[in-house]
Amino acid sequence: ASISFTRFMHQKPTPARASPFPILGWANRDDVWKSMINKEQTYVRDKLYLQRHPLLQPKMRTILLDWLMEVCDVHKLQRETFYLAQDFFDRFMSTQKNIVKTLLQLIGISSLFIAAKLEEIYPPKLHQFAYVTDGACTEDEILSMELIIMKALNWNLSPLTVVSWLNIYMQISYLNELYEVLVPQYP
Amino acid sequence: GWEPGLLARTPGSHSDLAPSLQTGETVALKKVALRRLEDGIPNQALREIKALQEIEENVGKCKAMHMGGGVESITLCTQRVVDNTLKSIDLKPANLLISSTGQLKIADFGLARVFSNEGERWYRAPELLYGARKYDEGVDLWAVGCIFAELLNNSPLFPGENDIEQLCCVLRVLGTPNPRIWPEITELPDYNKISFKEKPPIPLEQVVPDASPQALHLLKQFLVYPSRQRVRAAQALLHPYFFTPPLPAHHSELPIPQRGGRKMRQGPPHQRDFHIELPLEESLVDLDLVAPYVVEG
Repeated sequence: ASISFTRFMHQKPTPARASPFPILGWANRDDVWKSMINKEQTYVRDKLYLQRHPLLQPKMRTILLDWLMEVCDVHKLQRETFYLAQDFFDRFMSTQKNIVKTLLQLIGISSLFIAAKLEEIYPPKLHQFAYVTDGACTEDEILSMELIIMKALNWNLSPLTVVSWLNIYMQISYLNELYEVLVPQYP
Repeated sequence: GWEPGLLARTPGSHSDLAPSLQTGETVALKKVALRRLEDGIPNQALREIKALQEIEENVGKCKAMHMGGGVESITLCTQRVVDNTLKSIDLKPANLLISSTGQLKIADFGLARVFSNEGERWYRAPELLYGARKYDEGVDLWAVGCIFAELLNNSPLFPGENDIEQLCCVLRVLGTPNPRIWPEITELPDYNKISFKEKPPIPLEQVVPDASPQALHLLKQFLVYPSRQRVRAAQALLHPYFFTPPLPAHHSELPIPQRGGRKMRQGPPHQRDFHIELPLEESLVDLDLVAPYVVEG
């Protein structure tokens, strides 16, 4: 299965399925669908990236993400912010190898730092991100990791996150009950 | 190549052009002022990069035409951008790039998402001036209206020196807002912080005296207090203004910005400069400048 997956990964994106959207008042439904599918091709995730990091266990990622979720909770950050951070973290990790356990928290908090600046109206300050690590990461370390992550991600900062897909699934599954679908929201 | 627009008259624009090291194409460079670095890469810069990636294809498609066309392309770009579910863009003349073939691009998306105080004040919608934290694409349609009026008048419509004066400029023309004509105003954060003397609106006919009735009719639909009542971009594109002579010119007929503008400005007034004494039509298109770009047949 993994062989055929990589084979298809680099193909030119043409949506295999017709746009599942109804006619939209604000855009062409085929364009919207195509741009969403194209994103999945640009933002390639590697679910096997942990194999490149023999010193890490899958459990460590889980613990890190749980902790990031807690940080989001404390600062009342948007769900999208958390999932952006998760995307940045995962994509960054697939560009690296042999990352050690002690770096994980720094990579995680720096990913959240970037995500918050992109997504939040009032992102927490740098010192607040350093503070929640309880001394594990300094402000300077977060700033340099920010640049390292940006460079590794090639400044690609606009993935479709898990929650934004979920948002779409839910709207489509309730189509009959809604008159207006997928109208851009301003939360 | 892309030039900072003919319209880039407002100060504080930091764009420049250079060949790309990767492709050799001429690209617009933007110098980002890194004043306060205590929070790493500034979020405006991050959001601008994100927004540009988001709309990469769509902005390139924008076609531009002349004067009427200028407004049409801005409106069209606004529609494209808003369609693309971007929250908001920072529309002002300095952010409009015009190519050597007359195409127009919107260049600055740094404030797409959050409007900071560094955004251009003159084009800021009244709800933002009253401190609104939630806003919609109406802020861009307001900006389109301001740019449209600026094109018609050849001078900024609401040139406020500071935020309070900005509000005064708007109020002087549109009249003092009240909850009757603008119900949402009572919910805006700064509504109770400042009150103005009750004043009636000035007819736009007096504010933009040289505009045609149809231009005024369209302009009026952009410049209304309640954001929801502003004409939608797609709707504006169907306005009779765009279908009444003088028709929007093809972008190949546009006056072309000259390279090395800074040197040329030191000489005699540039041919494409507008003259208030001349009829509007004559001052806009210089046929000699345009001739090399007109496609025969």
